[in-house]
This record gives sequence, C-alpha cells and structure tokens, in this order.
Amino acid sequence: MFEKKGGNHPDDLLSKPSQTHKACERQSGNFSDCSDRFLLKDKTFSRQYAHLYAERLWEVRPKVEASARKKWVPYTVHTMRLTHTSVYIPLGKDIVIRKLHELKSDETCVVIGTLFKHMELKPSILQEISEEHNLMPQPVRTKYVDESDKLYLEDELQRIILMGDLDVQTSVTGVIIAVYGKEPEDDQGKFHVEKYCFQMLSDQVPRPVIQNDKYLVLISGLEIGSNEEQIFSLQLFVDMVTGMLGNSEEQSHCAEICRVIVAGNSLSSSTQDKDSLQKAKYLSKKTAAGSVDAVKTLDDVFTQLASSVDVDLMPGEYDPANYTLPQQPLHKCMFPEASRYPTFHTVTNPYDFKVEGVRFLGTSGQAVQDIVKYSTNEEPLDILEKTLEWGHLAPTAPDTLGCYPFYKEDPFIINDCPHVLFAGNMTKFDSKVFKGCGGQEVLLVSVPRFSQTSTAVMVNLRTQDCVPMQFAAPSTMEPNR
Amino acid sequence: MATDSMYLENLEEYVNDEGKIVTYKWLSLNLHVHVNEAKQMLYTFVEEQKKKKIHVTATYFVSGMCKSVDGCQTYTCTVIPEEELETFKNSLTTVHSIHVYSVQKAGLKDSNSLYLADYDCVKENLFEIHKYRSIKYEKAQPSSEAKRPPIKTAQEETKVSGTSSAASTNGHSSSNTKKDAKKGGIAGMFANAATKKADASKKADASKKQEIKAETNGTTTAGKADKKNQKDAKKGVANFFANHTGKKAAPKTMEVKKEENEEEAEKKKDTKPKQNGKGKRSKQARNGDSDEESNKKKRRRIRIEMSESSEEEMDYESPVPSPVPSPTREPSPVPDTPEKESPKKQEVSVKPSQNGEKHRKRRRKLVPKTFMDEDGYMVTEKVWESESTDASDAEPPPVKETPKPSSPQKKKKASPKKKSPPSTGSKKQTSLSSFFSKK
Repeated sequence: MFEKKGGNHPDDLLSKPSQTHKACERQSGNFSDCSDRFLLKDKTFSRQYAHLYAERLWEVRPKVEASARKKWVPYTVHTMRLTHTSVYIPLGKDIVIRKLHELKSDETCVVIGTLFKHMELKPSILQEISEEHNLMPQPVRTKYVDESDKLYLEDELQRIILMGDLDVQTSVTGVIIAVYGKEPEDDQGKFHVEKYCFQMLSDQVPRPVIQNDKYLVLISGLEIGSNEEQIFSLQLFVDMVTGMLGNSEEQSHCAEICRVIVAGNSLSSSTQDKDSLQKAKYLSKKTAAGSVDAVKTLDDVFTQLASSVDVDLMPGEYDPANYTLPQQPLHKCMFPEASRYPTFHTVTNPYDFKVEGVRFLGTSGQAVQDIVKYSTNEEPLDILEKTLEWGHLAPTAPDTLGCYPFYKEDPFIINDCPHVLFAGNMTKFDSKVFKGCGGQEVLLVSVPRFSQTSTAVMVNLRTQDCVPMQFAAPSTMEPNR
Repeated sequence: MATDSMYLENLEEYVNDEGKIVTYKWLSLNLHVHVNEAKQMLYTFVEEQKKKKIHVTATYFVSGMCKSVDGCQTYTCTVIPEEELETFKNSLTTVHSIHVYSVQKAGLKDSNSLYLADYDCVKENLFEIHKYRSIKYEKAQPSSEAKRPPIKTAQEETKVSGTSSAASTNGHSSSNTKKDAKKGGIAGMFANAATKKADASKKADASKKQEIKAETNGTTTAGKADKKNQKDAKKGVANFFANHTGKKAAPKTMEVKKEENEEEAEKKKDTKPKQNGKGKRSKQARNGDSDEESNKKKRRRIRIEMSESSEEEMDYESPVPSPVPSPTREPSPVPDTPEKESPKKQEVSVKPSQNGEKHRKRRRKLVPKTFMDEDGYMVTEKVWESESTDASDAEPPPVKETPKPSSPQKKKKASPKKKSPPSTGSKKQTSLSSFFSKK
C-alpha cells in the first residue's frame, strides 16, 4: 500500500545536514457532517421509552415488510422426472402478513414485530432492591446469557414466544424482525418459526473515484490518566501524523492523511473516580479531580494535532460526556488551546459523516460491547455485520444500553448504507469487507484501544484498504513476531 | 553557514557537559531549523563523536512494514536504541525511513525520559512548532491573541474553570459576571469586587485553587468590609476558608460590628442576599460555590448562636433570676426563712442570687450533722443546709430549728424519703444500703 515515490533512500537522513527541505501541503478532503440526528435539540427526560420502541417499529415495519415480500414468495416445488432438477413455481399469491391478535391457528403467515430476549441473569432493579431483604445481590458478570433464555415477539398489542429456527443465543432485544411460520393448534401461545428476515440494507450510493491516495486515521482508547497510558507512543503518533518523524518521503506520505477521528475513551476509567461522588464535598474540596490533568494533557495533544490536520473528537464511555446514547459533543472549553484551531471539532457518538464521497458511520464501541454482554456473539466484526443486517446501530438501547427517550424518531436506525462502519475501543484491530445482498460493500473496522495496543488504523479512501499503524517505544514493545 | 559548525559544539556542550537528552525536536526548536535538518545534525554529531572515541548513545527512529501475528501488514514505527537497530531492520519486510531520534550520554532506561526531554520545550512553543514541520496546513490557523484581552477576566475564569470540571454552567457563569460588571446597578459593590478580583488574580500563584479562593474572598468581603479595614476582614475571611476553626474569630468581629451600628447591620443584610446571588453567579467551580454557601450558612448559624449567647450575657448582667434553672426545680423559698417543708425538698437547686450578689450562688446542701438529741443520744442526721460559694458557715437558726422539727418528723421522713427520689445535690451518692443503715 505504501509505494516508494521517487528514489529516496530510507536512510537519507543519516547524512550531513542540508538546507533544502521541502514542505508539502496537507491534503484536505471534502467533508460533510451527517450527524445532525444525533444532536439532542431538547432534553426532556419525562417521557417513557415506549415511544422509542413504537417509533422504531413504525419506521422499520414497512421496510421489513417489503423485504419479507421479496424474499418469501410462496411457491411450490416441482421436480422434473427426467433431469431431476427442481423447479420452484410461484403460487402467484402474496404471503399473508398478520398482526399477533389476528393470528389463526395453523395458518402459515408472517408476523412483524420487535424481538425481546427474556434473560434470567439480566440485572434487574427489583433484584437490586431485594438487597434490602438481605438477599444476595446480583454479581457483576461479563456475560448475562443463559441456556434458559427465551425469545418473544412483540407487536403493538401482544407478545408471543418464538420457537424454532431462530437462534436465541445470538439474538438481542430490540431488533425488528419478520418471522414466517405458524402458531400450531396444539401448542397455543407459541409461534413456530421456519424462516425470518430483517430490514434490507438500503442501496449504497456508489463511491466516487478518487485520483490520489487519501487517508483517514481512526484511533481510540487513548485512556489518558491511567497507569497504562502510552504517552510516548501517543507522542510518536502525533509526530508521525504532523510530519515531524520520518524522512521527507514518509512525511509526504503522511501529508495524505486528511482527517483524524478519535473514537472515544480519550480519558481513562480511572479518572471517573466513583468514590468522589460519594465522598462529602468538604473532604474533597482541595483535591482536584483526576480528569483535570488528563484533560490538560489531551489539550496539548490535540493542539499539536489540530495545527496540522482536521481532528474529530468523539466522546466515549469514560469521557466527561453524558452517559446515555447518543453522547453529545464534549464542550470546547475543556480544550482551550486546541479550540483556537478551526480544525478541531468535537462530535457526537455515534458519528456519521462523509469524506470525499465515502460515507462513514461509527461508534465508540458501547453498542458493540453491550451486545457482547447480552448474547454469545464475541467477535466485534461479527457484531458489526449483524448490526448492518438488523439495520440498527444499537438495538439493545434502551433495554440494557442507556438511551435518550426519543419521541418521534429513532436516530440509530441505519437508513443509508455506509461505506465504512467502525467501532472504537475494541480489543484488537480487525477489518473485513461485508458484501450485502444488494451488492453493497461495507468495510467493517474494529479500532483497538490505543492504551493496550498502541495501534491506530489508517483507512485508504481510494481503495478502502485498512492498515494498522503501530507505535512502539524502546524497550517496551518488541516488533511483531 | 556559521550555524553549521556552531551546532556541533553546542551539541557537544548539551550532551556531554549538561548531560541532556537531545532529541531532534528539541534541537529543531532551539536552533530554529527544519526537523529534517535537525535529524541530520544529530547524525553528523554522532559520527563525529565516534571518530573522537567519545561515548554517546543514540536512539533511532525506524518505520516500515512488518508482518504481524494475524498475517496482515502493519505499518510499524519504533524508537529503538542503536544496538537493536540492525536486528530490527531485518525483522521488517520493508523499511521506510530511519533517522536519529535522540542523542544522550548514557543509555536510556525507558521511554518516559525521552518523552519528558521534549515536553517543556514543546509546551512553550506549542504554536510555533508548525513552522519546522514538513507538512503545512493552511486551514489550521489559530484564532489570534488579539481577541482575548477584552474579556480577559472572564476568559481567565473560563480557562480556570474549563480545566477543572464539567462544562456548561461555567460558560454561563462567566458570561453572567460580564453582565454584572456591566450592569452597574449594584455598582459600588461590584466595582470593589472587580478591583479586588484584579488584585486577587494578580496576586494568585500557579495553583488555580488559590486563585479561586482569592477571588471568592474578594467578592465576599467586598460588601461586608468596605468600611472596616479591608485587609483585616479579608484575612479574617481567608482564615475562614483556610481553617474552619478560625471561623469563630471572623463572625465574632462581624457580630461586634453589628451591635455597634444597626444601620450597618441592616446594610449587610441587604448586601448579603445580593452577595449570595453574586456568589452563586460568579462561581468558578462547584467547590467554590458550595464553600461560599456553606460558609455563609455556617456564619449565619454561628451568628445566631452568638446572638443567643450575647443575649444570655446581657441577661446575666441584669438583676434577673439566673437563666439556667434546672427543669425539675420547684420554686424553693429562700433559706433565710425557716421552713418545715425544706427537708422534703431533696433536689439541689441553684438558688437565685438574693441580694443581687453577683457570681455567688447559695446552695442548699444535704449535710450530715451530729448532735445530741433530747434523749441524750448522739444522732447523725442529714440536714439541708444553705451554703454560699465563699464557704461561709451556715446560719445558726436554720440549723437549730431544722433538727427539731426534723426529729418529730423523722418517722414521717422515712415514708416521704421512700417516695422522694434520691438527692441529686449531695456529694455522696446515696445507695440503697444507706436506707437500711439508718434503722
């Protein structure tokens, strides 16, 4: 991916000083922000979440219906005697779509509704209150799945248990699904599923052809303020991107980086000292919060970066932003020096934007981590793929993931198919291209935590290639074996 | 090119004599040269030192592609000591660039020292570094310094608060202080506060908390101490914040002021609610605000307490029965007049000062007295006796008379004694056995 331009020798800087050093111009990409739906206009929390679910069902139902009609054309199979080939003959009539209250026994039909996964181990506020009765409080677990989990299908009025081909363990609450099957006469109250489908991924707007290589760098999990912060590696990263490290060839290569996205968790969880919330104010009067120094360090880092490249800062789980999704942009007064540059932007989480015609959509990883907790899915790329299939960025919100009680909209529904879908703060770097049934190609990227891996991700906008950039400090990291 | 030859000597000085870690960035910023040139300078320096057989160690920056565990090509960038250079180069599939990162006298232990070597230099020149880089970005122009002075104090506040805690309220507070300053309705107080703020902020040290304190000190003392010696009051209030125990000194002085001049007190009350508002509006961090408010509450509480005690003091001086009567005390008559009921009263009470004597209390004590009774027997009896605190002898008449009526009433005494609670005034605790010993 990195072809040598010109005939420059790698160690041309191991030489006598010369006066002539060229400076190159930073590439800037055509940028447009599409995250307006994630900005909260009014903040009324007096609503219930039922509106959000109703809106989700209302908005997605027609799309799921269309997808179901396309997929499940009723047919009969006719096998030719001579050639032994099977022919599928459509019956010419449409599939029957029923609401739950209209269900007739033993009628094969399609029902559309919201999936609900009943989990025994899911933490419940009632169980927490039971502490008062001296019952054992629920332990904090990494996974809340259990063998006995059940799936329910809920529409506006009723719910029914789903049995059959739908895998309980990999499903999550909150997905709008169409199931094809029947409610048997002898097993009332349960729906036997033969097939199921989700919303179809919308057609992708084709990417424009870009002449030159342009790169976008994704980095997440800087986690300043913890003991594990890789401040030297971070400094190497900054120096690299701003064109201080490397020889002139490498620097001109780095000049092709047109944007840097910081995908959350720039502060570490240790700066969110929960004890300080419990401690009395008069005791903690003179102690500064742990996040103060961390934010100052970050301000320096971003000032250096912003003086050379466009930077978008997304909030993450441990950042001083709101807890519920969508997280609002961090306030600029936290970064007084960096805010002086017009190239420094604070943005929402999730973040949706377009650079050079390439549509990016990504989160700081909370939705993916939540799905990991409540299902048997482990691989971040698998989960990203599933979210594309389900057509929803964060289906578990608001059930287990904090969410704002939206009223007439659900901004997490994936309406436009992105070209790149990324999630930050994952355990390791990974990427793959997902091919949708409508010919869409989406690059799925899992951005690792910088504090653990010292790795950032460079995405080539022209070729949709993805290369991890690793920064190592002396005597700490060895080169990859 | 005078600089060309000079730099070698400078480098020698920095590395060998001062023992500094010289990184390419530091060199570039100090000699005002392009970073690539600085790297080349370091390289020639290392070569020269090798020729002269002087020991210096260097770390190199190497970047290239290498194959990771997963099999994908990773773009690696590392800083490694000289010894590992060759082995590292060989481990890479392709090498993109190598250059000297830093030069120092002794070997490096870890990356922190490398990081710190540049830190101060970079911080000072945060907005100048871009001149020496290879990449220029036209869009990245910082907003000029000129915009900042007019809203300097507010800006300082936002800077201070911005780096301390959560964002949005601070934006409001700073804009509000601006508005206040402009309003001029409560002009005098605010003018004082503004000057005090300026003073305070000038005085303030590096620690921002002190600055916050000084500013809040300035605002709180503005109204209260404008007539008195400002410094003293400020100190008083500064003690306030610094030491909780010093609190009492401050409110007491304020108390005194209050008593001296009612008008002043009223004015203070007037300014206090305003001050509260201002205190709330001009807060820097939540800490400062809660400080002020809680301290105000404490002051108020103490003031009330002080006023209560002052009332007591005033009461004490006037000829009025003592203000601390025991609740169970029945109005007991003066011991001068002989009474028959007196032995029944077993409670000790603090007698009011009869003759207007100050600080002298007459007490009735239960005292065992030994005397000859009518049958010629030696009898020891407990008898109520009045005593004044200067320990003068009890008056004879009550003593003589009380035993006489007490002896015929001795039997009567037995029963009321049962019912009456044990005397609380006697120095010896009466136990149940004393009841039996009498017989």
